[in-house]
Amino acid sequence: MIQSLFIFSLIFPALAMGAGVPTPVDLPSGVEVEPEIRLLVKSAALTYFAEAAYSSQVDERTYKAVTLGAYYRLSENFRGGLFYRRQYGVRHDADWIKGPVGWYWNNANNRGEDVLILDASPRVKLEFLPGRSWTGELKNRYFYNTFNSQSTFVTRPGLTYFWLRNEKPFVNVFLQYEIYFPLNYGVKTIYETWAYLGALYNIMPTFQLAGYVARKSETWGNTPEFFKLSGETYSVQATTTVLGLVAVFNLGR
Amino acid sequence: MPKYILACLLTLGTLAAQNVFAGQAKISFVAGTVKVGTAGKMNAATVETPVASGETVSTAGDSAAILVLEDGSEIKLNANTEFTVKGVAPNAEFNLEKGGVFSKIKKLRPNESFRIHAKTAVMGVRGTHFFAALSKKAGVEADLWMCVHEGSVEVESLVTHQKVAVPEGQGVYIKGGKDITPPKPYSWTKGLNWNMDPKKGNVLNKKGLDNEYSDLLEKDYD
Repeated sequence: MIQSLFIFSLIFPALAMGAGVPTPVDLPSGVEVEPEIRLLVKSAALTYFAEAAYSSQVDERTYKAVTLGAYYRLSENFRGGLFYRRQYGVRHDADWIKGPVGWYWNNANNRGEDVLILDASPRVKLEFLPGRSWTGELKNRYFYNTFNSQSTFVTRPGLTYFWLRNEKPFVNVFLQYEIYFPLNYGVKTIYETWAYLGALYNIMPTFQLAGYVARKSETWGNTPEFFKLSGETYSVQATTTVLGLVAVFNLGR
Repeated sequence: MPKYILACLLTLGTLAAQNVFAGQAKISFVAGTVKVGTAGKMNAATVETPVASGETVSTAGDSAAILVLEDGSEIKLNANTEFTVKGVAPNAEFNLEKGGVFSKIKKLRPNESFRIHAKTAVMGVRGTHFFAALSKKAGVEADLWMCVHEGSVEVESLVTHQKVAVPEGQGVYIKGGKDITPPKPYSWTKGLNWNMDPKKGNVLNKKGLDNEYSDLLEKDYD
């Protein structure tokens, strides 16, 4: 009896504390499927870009986005771009809200957001690597989401090996690591990372098909509003595996 | 006596006619805009325009020219090409500055030579029909493409000094002015217009290398 009371006295405060903190728990992990279609039309130094993306995500989230814009090749090793994106289904920290029966994630699947994107991406040949047909790229992007005025800097170092046939790309194998830095929000310096391993099959110069597997890690943190209501802070992480399939149409010269 | 005078005059006339192009090449075919001259002083070329050592022949887009040498060897210039005559027989030397050329070279005598220089390589031949072209990049980074239709060509990289003999029906590719790829029948050699005789049909080569050219830095997928 004394032993039971002792154990209860240890557990009860912990339970009481857990019940009192309305933080997102039990974040689901699993496999997400992400089909995309891209169109790139080259015209001298300009490359017009269009992309439609869809992702069936864990926790019954559905991401949809259309991106339009253009790259301008400033030099052989550097290109810049300007894009507009209309996106649906992006979850933010502020979507952890309090309802009549407790805290829950707001469903953002049908919420449209407008995003402006600036891109500055240097790229180099890495001919000293075995096989010589390697390139390295540092894809840098600045995102401004007009829905909540959030600014994000995303950088993605990547390495691509081109398996050539008759001096033309046949299959590209790529390895990339993408890091999201929230500039005016969030409780962590890095709130999202993606590690990609993929391959792209050059079916013809105008059409390519790529597949990748990615490990995505997202961090959710308390907003100032959450802190006001609960007096608590939190930072939780969700990790998922993403399977992507991308069709790329490359037109023009 | 008048017969001898006539014979002498005919002989002198023939020699004089030969001397017009002694030490020179001349244009035998022009399509579109073709110019001959030296830097800063390029003049429109027509058939029979002589091309002296040190002069450059240039072709504009959708243009072509054929240069004939004293021994009957011919060089056909693709569109957007710049080709400089550095020396003529017996030691013919040329510079391919830009674009591409088809060369149909008569069998050379032991004391003769024929060489085409590019920024990064030199091609030496002894009676052959071959094609050489530079990629659109400038300078030592330009890639050189070369293939042989008849005979053989020795290619030497001026950067690595690697030498490769390219046999008939095969080609090589010098990436960024460095190593020479092994000779083999490349797909890009198909579709080249080897015809050098306007009487036998169209001589313009419409086959460009741009579609064949794989500059990895220009490959965009996202």
